[in-house]
Amino acid sequence: MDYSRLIRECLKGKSQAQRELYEHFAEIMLGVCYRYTRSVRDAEDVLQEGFVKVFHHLKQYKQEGELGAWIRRIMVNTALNYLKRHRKYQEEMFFTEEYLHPVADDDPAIRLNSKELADLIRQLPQGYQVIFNLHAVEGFTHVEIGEMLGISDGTSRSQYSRARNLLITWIEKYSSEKKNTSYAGK
Amino acid sequence: MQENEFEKRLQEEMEEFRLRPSEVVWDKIDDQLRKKKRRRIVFYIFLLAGLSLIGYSGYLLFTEKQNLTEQDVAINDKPTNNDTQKSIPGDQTIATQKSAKDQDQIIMPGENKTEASREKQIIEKRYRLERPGELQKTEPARQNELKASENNIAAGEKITTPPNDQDNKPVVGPGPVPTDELAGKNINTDEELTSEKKDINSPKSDSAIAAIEKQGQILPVDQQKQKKKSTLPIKWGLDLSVGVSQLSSKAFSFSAVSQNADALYAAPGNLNSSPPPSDVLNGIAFKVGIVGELNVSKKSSVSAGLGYAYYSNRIKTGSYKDSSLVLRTMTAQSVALNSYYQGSQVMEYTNHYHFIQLPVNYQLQLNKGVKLPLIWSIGIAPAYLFSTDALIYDTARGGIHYKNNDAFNKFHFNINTGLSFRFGKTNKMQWSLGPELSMDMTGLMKDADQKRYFMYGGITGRVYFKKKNIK
Repeated sequence: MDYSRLIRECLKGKSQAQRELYEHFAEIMLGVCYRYTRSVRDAEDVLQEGFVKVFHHLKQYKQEGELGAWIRRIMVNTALNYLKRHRKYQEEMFFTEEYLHPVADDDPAIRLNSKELADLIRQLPQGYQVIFNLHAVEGFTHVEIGEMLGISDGTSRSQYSRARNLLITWIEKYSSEKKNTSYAGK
Repeated sequence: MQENEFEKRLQEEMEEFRLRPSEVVWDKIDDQLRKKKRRRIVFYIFLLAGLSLIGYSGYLLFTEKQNLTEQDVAINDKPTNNDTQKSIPGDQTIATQKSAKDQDQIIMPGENKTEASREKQIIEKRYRLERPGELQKTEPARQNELKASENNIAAGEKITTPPNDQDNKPVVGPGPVPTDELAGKNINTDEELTSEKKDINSPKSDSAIAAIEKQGQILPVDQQKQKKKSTLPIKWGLDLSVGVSQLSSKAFSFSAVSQNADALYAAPGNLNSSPPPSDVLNGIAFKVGIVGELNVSKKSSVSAGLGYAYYSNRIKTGSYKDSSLVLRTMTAQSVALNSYYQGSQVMEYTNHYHFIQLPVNYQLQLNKGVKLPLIWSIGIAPAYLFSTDALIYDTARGGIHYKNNDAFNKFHFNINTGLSFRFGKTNKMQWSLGPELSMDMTGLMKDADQKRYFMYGGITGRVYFKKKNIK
């Protein structure tokens, strides 16, 4: 896809180009938003806010990095703001200094598809979920996460290890349940 | 499974994860994009309309002055003629310096046509009083007598008038009225004289004025004034408002907010580890500008102007750090800071905001009285934030305040309303005073999810410039 042309036309305010850009990235970006929220409707709200920001700030995109990564970053930031704004998410947020838990060495043997995995991540407590997404999926370091969330990098590490252990336990449990269900089905 | 391997596999899985959004999402995005575009268009329309109104008013003002100057020159340059004198009896004694010079006549300094008219009326009155029995005389005869009387006055003042040009060159001057000279002349009835006087004093219709002007004749001063009044109904004034500005969390809300920059780093977690942003305290504010007001009916008017508005608020910041720091913004941009405020919030800092405004208002008189009219005004004021040194808060580095003008919306749209009492009379110094409320409908910060709106409350005074008397 010729992103340069698309960006040029979007900057001119051409609705067709904006629609084209949206169609190209909407599905994958909704996947990103989905991981941070509790419902598809909330995820779509984040997606909508995020794309409005994308179009308003498109001239700031320097075309040095990948356009998808730039949009993804905006979606993540929008999702974080969305969580902060909504009480139902805010109440679940807690970041406390805890002892570091050892990282689980188990091989969860991920036999789940991406949707199932995303659903499990969304079931993590909100604080864990955010840090897990930021570190494991988006690839931010704990120092960066600490700055983004206004917490220390130690807290971020601690929360992450707890989230990771919890998720691995769930993956194993879910995988075995799925296996049993499939056997029973036969 | 090693940590990195788990994350790697997870990332791969998540890269594949897609969800199809509902069609409504794009409709909402499109709607918001168009809304912003519409808002910008409306702003430019108002900007254009305001500038046009100001320009047009300025043009009218300029041409009025120019016309007046030209008319003054015309009055001074125009030679008198019989037709003019006959058509406008009250003004036939207007004698110009130029024509006087041309005709070797002497005009008394400081004389004007009003004095001349008065002189003529005195002559007529005395003539009627002293010759009550001679009221059956015909008009031409009476005119001749009057002329003769005037000539005698002139002769009394030792002013010489060439005999051929007597009718064309009326000369007036102080001195005794030689009533004896008027004996044995014809004169019309009193009614005729009265009606003639009525003609002199009654204002002529615009069409009559236009017809007279078309013929190159000079209008009486009163009629010139009336005509000018009808072509330039805009009243100019100076607005000054002093009050308080407040940042509110919603439009039309009085609840104050804190000024953290959720447009940038947004902390979705609690803020225990960094100090929360300080409260934003109200600050002083004022507005000043020029305004043109146009009456649209007996009790209502519209006004437009150009003004400057200053808003402020006060916050607490940490100590000043003169070191560089790079922040990543909401839109993944890096903001390089050369200085910021960090630490416990002990220092008081005033945020200043400077706007250029184009207020357009509708005024309606609420009461029936004319002595102290109560005026209600409502309107809009597109504004441009051309400068600010305001600090914004960020949870980064344990909570910092820093400057970033790019984080603020530049174009704003205000709604104004107010009540005021108007003092003074139209023909003299007029001014108004009353409370005003102004609400900024545009969020202060660009990407702030929790919008912040400026609210302004104050006392506004308007002084109308006194109109120049046309002489």
